[in-house]
Amino acid sequence: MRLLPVIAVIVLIPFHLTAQECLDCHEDVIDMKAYEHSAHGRQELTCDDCHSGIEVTDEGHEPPGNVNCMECHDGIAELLDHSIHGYTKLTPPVLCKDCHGDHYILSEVSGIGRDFRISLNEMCGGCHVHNEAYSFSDEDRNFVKSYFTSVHNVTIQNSGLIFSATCVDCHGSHLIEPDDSPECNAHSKTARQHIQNTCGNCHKGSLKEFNMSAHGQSFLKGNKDVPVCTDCHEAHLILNHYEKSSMTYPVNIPRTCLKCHSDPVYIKKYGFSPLKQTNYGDSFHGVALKLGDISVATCVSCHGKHKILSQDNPESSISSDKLGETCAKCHLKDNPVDIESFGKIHAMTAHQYHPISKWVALIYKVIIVTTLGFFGFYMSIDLFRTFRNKKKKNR
Amino acid sequence: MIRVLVVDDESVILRSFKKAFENKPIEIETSESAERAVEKLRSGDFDLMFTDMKMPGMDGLTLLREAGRINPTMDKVLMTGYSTVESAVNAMKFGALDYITKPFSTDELHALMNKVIGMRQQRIKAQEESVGFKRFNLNLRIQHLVMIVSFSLLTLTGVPFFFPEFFKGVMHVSETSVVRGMIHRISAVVMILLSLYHILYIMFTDDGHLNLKLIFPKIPKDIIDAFHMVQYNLGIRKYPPKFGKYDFIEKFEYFAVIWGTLVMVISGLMLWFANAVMTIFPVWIVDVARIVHHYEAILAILSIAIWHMYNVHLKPEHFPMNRVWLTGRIDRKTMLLHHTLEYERTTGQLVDIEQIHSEEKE
Repeated sequence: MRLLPVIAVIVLIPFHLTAQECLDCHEDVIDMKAYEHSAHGRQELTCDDCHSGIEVTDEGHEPPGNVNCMECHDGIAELLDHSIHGYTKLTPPVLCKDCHGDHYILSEVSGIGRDFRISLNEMCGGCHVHNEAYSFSDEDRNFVKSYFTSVHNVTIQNSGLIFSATCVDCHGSHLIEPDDSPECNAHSKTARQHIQNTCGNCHKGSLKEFNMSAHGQSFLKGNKDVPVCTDCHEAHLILNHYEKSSMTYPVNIPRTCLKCHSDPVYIKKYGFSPLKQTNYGDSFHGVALKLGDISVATCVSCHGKHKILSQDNPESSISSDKLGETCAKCHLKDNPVDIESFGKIHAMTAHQYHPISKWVALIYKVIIVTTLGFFGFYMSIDLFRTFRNKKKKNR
Repeated sequence: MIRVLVVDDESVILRSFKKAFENKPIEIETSESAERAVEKLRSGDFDLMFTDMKMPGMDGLTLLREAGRINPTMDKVLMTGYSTVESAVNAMKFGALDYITKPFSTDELHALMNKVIGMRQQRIKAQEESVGFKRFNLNLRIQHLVMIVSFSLLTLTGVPFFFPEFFKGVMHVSETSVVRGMIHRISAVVMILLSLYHILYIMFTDDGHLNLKLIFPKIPKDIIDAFHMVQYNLGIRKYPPKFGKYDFIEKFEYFAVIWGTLVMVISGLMLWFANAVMTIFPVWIVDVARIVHHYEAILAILSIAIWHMYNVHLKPEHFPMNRVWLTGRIDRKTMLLHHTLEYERTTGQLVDIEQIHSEEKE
């Protein structure tokens, strides 16, 4: 019985086609030089390792069947079974070669070459943006396309930093699970409960801060209302904070935070100060920001970016102990006077107007209305007299 | 009251003048020599001068010339012992209105006086009508101009704060409002310096003193004037009140500007030096300063845009523009109708308001 493999090899040898035999006819199909640099070529696999079951007769041979990569790459099969590309039976189906290419896998001319991360966006985009055979909506196509202008892709394309995030870093490669299907939701890298870890794979510092924050702590306890990375940074169109259309551009920061903090449902549920009662929008900071001056304080300047903590937390940048320091970051930058006293007095405004401010505003409104009323009255009787006199004169 | 200086070396003539106008509203001052007359002209304000031609020492014609230099608005009449065409022509050449031949009777003197006063009034009226009255000197006009420029720039660079979304990115350099803020602060400094200058001006110049006196509110006159004016506008009264150089509205505007500037400067400085303020005062003080600066600005801008622009541009008698801010002068009609008391004060002429208004209607 030990000899069985040996016998099998001996028996099979006569049926094994050499590459040269295939090339006799198919020279135009394959560039052997390039093939030899591919992953399979380097392993010295020949044609019939993939195109198996070909019996050559004098008339030639039958068309070969589909190549089954899983014969060797059997671990991938299981992953693909759970992947959106595998289980949804797409028409046309997504085949291995659609992503990996056929003959020149991992060579310079392959779909996924050595520098494949640079062209990955175009490869995925080939179907998700451009291929009309799939029934993606325009919205979906644009959503995918928006990644192209994101900081992640621009960094790869312009700076060649190929370790910046590509499609597969967030969505996975063989095992791509959608985040909108309940059955896969539990595992999807882009599902809400996994987003922070997906991003945190690279952004470890931010993840650490987020996990310490009020948002993060609540998130870890399973609260799904809490914002995750993509709520403030977007999913695909992630832009640097100095890009004007970025959600994290200073001018846009209040809108980003107020998405939740002015939502009546959340206001009720979590007791946020309703927008009307906060004075940021009318404050010196708020008005200057609306004017487009990004040197003024926005929400994150005082509350922090990822490490946002309740003011009751002594670690918080807005706790009564630390508020002075926080204000001094901008205000006493050049003139470090007694920060402690500065902070204590500053702590008196919890986004609310002092009653005196309200009175002053009210008194001024009354004065303005009265004055305008007087102007109107006097001007109308003045005109009345002028025209009456003119009439008399004309008579 | 008309003040007349009579110059003659013959005391009989001087006495005859005194006697002739004993019970008339004419004040006679006499001088026995031309040299004394020059001294009197220098110290007193005369409307008319009668002078003899031939006197020991300085003669009449020389006195005429001298008097013209000392008091150009005074009218002159020559008295001669012998009437010749030549002396009459000479008299006119030296700016005399008329001449009279000695001796003359009291009736002749009365007639001459009436004629001369009539001519003088005609001349003054004609002059007033052609050149008008000086209202603001160049200094005040330049102050006003500086005010216009600084106020406009402050408005231009401050108004964006009322409509931040609309003015987004305007006057910005590298995403900060540094240019807007810089223009605002420079204009503010200009206005502060102007205010300080104005204080010095009203404290240390005669014109400033006088104008301050004239613009200072007089209670109850200004309040009565206001009611009176409203009644006049409504047709309840036939004539408007007699106003001085500044009517109650102009006084109100002036003190409103002072109040507004004071409030804006104090609140503005508090915002400019907010860090320093916050190290001394609680932060809500800065908030109040911001609110005050905001609302006072609205008040000031609306007052200028509506009230001041109405009064100097849209008001039918001034439309399209009252030119006083450029020329510093106002015409006789406006002076008589609207600054009656000022006309009386500067000319010494009493104004009959009914007569003026009936003239105006014709």
